[in-house]
Parts: sequence; C-alpha cells; structure tokens
Amino acid sequence: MPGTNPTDEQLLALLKAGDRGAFRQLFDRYYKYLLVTVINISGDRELAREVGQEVFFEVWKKREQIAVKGPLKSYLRRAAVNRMLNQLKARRLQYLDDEQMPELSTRPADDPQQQLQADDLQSIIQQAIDALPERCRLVFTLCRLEGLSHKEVAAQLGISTKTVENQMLKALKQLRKAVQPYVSKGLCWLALLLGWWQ
Amino acid sequence: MSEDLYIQLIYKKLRGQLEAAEQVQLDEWLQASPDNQLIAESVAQAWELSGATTAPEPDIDLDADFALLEERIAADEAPPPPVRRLSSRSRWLSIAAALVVLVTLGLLLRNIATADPSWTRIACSSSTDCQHLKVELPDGSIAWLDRNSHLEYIGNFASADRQIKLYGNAFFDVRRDEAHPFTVSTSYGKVTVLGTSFGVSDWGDDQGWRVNVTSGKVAVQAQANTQQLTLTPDEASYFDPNQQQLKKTSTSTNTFSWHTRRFNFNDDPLSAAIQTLEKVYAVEIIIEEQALLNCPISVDFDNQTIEAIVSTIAEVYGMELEGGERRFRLRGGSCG
Repeated sequence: MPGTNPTDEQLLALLKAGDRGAFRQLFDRYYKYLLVTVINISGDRELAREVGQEVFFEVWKKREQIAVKGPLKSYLRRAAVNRMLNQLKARRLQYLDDEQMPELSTRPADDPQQQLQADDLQSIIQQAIDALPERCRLVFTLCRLEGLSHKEVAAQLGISTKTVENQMLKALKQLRKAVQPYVSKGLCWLALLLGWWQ
Repeated sequence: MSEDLYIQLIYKKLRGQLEAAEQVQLDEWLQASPDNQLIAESVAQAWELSGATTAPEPDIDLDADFALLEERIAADEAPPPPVRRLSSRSRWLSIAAALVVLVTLGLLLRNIATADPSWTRIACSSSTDCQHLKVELPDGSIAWLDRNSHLEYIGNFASADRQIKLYGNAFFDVRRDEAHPFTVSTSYGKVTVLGTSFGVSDWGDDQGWRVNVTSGKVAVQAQANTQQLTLTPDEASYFDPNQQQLKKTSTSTNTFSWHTRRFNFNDDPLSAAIQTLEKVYAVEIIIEEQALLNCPISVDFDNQTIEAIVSTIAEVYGMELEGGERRFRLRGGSCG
C-alpha cells in the first residue's frame, strides 16, 4: 500500500519468513534508537555500535524463533541493555585487579561545540554525566534512565547494593555541583513546581 | 560529612522513600540556611534534568552499518571450513618437509568457495605443498600460517576492526593501530590486540586453544564462557575444552619452533624432542631401543634440515640411521 508504513508486527511477520527488506526496515527504524540508548547509559559510542550490531545480528539469526511480547521497541531496548551489561561485565573481569577502568570515549573537553552550548542546562547536565567515572555513570544511568532498583543494578553489575548507594550519592553530588551555579538562590521555582517540600 | 547525609535524604525523597522522621530531619536542615535550600534545589534539578537527558545524536551512516551487519550475517551463514588433519603420508610431503620450503605469498588469494566476497581466505594446505606460509595483511601486519591451517580476514580492514578468523596454528606480527583493534577468532575463543606479536593455535579439537605472547599486551576471551585474561610477553593461555576453562600458563621453549625452525632442548627426554620434531617437520621418527626414549637430550638446532637433525641425534647416542625422507628409523645405541 503506497503511503502507509508497515507496522512492526507486519515487518516481524515478514522477517520470520526471511524477508531481507523487512529486516532492513526494522534496522532503519530502531538501530539508531538502540545506539542512543546505550550511549546514554554507558557514554561509550564504540560499545553502542557493537551492541547495536549484535542485537540485529541476533534478530536475523533467531528470526524464526523470535517471540516478542509487547512493543518491539522495548524488546529491542531490553536486548541492547542486557547485551551492553554482559559486555561490560566481561570487560570488568579484565580490569578487576587494577582499578584502572578504561576512560570514557566522550569527554566534555573533547567537544568544543558542547562547551559553546554550555548555557543550556540540559547540556550542562549531560556533560556532568559524561564526566562521571565509568562505574559511577553506569550505576546512575541504570537507576535513572532504565528505572532499575538499587538491588537490580547491584545484581546486573555484580557489585554490592552498598556500592550502588555510594556511587549514586557520588553521582548526585557531582551533578549537583555542575548545576548549582545556574540555580538562582531563593527562587525555589523548581521546589514549588514539584511540590518539593510540602 | 553531614552534607552527604542530607543529599542522601533528598535522594530518598525524590524516589518517594523518605520516612517521616527523616522528613523532619530534612526540613530542619532546609530551614537552617538558604545555602542548604540551594543545595537541595540543585540536587532536585540535577535529578529532573538527568531523567530527560539524551547524549548528542551519534553520527551514524545507516547504510554503512547495515553493510557491516550483512557482512557478518554472510560470514555466519557461509558453510563451515572443512576440517583438515595432519595425515598425508605421501612422498612429496616428506620431500617438502626435508627441504623446509618456506612459501611466501604476498598475493591475496580469494577463495571462490567463500560465499561472502568481503572475506578473503588464505590457506596453507598440505595439498598445495605448503609448509609455512607468510601472509601480508592489508594493514601491514604479517601472519605466518602453519601447515593445515587457514585464515580469513574481512574486507580490506577498512571497517572498524581488523578481524581475522583462524583455523589451526599461526603466528601474528601486528602493526600497531590503536583505533582499530586486531582480533583473531578461533573455535574456542577470541584474541584482541592493538599491536603486538603472538601465536594462536586452535584446531577446534580436544587439543584446545593456546595463545602465546612474544611482545605487547594481548586480551584473550573464551568463546564458551566469556572468561577473559590479559597476557604479557612470555605469558600464554590455554583453554581446556574438557574442563571448559581458560588458564594462564607460560610459553614453553619450543612453542614457536614450527615458525622459527629453531629448537632448544635442555635436558628434555628424547621422546619429547622426537615428538616436537615429528610435529614440526611432519615426519615419523622411530627409536627402536625403547630404553633410549628417556635419555636426556640437550642440543640446539637452528634452521637445519630434518635429515641433519636426525643424523646429529643418531651420532650423539651411537644409533644407526635407516630410512629417510619422511620416515626415519634409529637402531641400537645407548644413553651414555
């Protein structure tokens, strides 16, 4: 039908039958979304690409068995996050002895464009998140963006809940410092907005 | 520090987990000074903003990335490489072995059988008289293939990673390129390096998977359980397929003899030395006097023909040498 986009379900049905065109359409629809998801959580672009490739590779490979409950988008997102965590866990083994975690690939200083946009609070917070140490960032983003509980984050990363709490506090303190110069004293607009201390 | 405590309370509040007593505590602190209020507000705002955060859009070339994916799918769907064994008992092999033919092949041999043209396959097969094959990879790295081994590499390494698939035994001298990791995948695992030299041996059989490092740093990861190790020079790893375990070991003396044709035997039992030589030169050496098998042997050989080596051994132990080509028989003699 010209002018109408096939639904995810229709594409999935075609995919099951081995339709490459449908596969490509799903790729175009969600690949970037998965990459952004992984970059938001991990800050690692290379990893994001690796994960995106992996997820779609598996989708093709297991196209006949694939059983999607709920929206395909969330299914793919979960698959990407799980894969990302597995990759990170495998890497972590390598760095277990020495605390020298690999540095993040994206640092605010790397990108002068970002510095210029620093008047925008949203980009300030993004830079602050990018500047968090790897583990701290992961703990924070998994809690905040993926909505995982402390317990779940601890299990996923193979660390204690105490460590999760410490890392969350560390992240909040750092983000708070980044934001504070832009929060005007006494205005309390946000507090009022949120019904914060009622 | 007390400030930390209150940030913790604010965090609890944000997640709706603050208890009544804590709320009182927090309120008191907030009333105490406008600075505290500012801190609280900043935390709340940071929390709000971070929930909506999106990293700058990645710069993605959907076509290129899809092409990469297709390459991988095609490689996966290609028929598995045939399993070849060191078996041939034909005469020409023994002649070749005696001469230690080092075949150098700089040309890229495209394998017609491979379904995906982006993978280039190069084999050192006994059916082509190959003993030891030097392969120049597109990035300037060099691989040496042992006999009955083959490798495949993806495209012209233009894609992000320098990917190699290996069956058998090979030595790699990798040109340093931090931006493009060099990976060697075998049936039991994967080796990742940036620039270094190392040997990989994996025939996909019960001999398992061995990686030996001569320079630089190498990361190895077992396929079965994603177990990982980092190896530095003179270190080695061994994946035991029975125990499904990856272990760190050290490089033993004659690990690279197949490649260097240098042997260093130092008080080794004669039987072990014979075994090493048989394997490297693809010959059969029979010691008739069983008692001699435990004799210690200390000798170095450097790029000699197997005939020369066997006659040296015969001389040392006063043995009589018979046969030749690919089958040697040693009679009599004594340890003394």
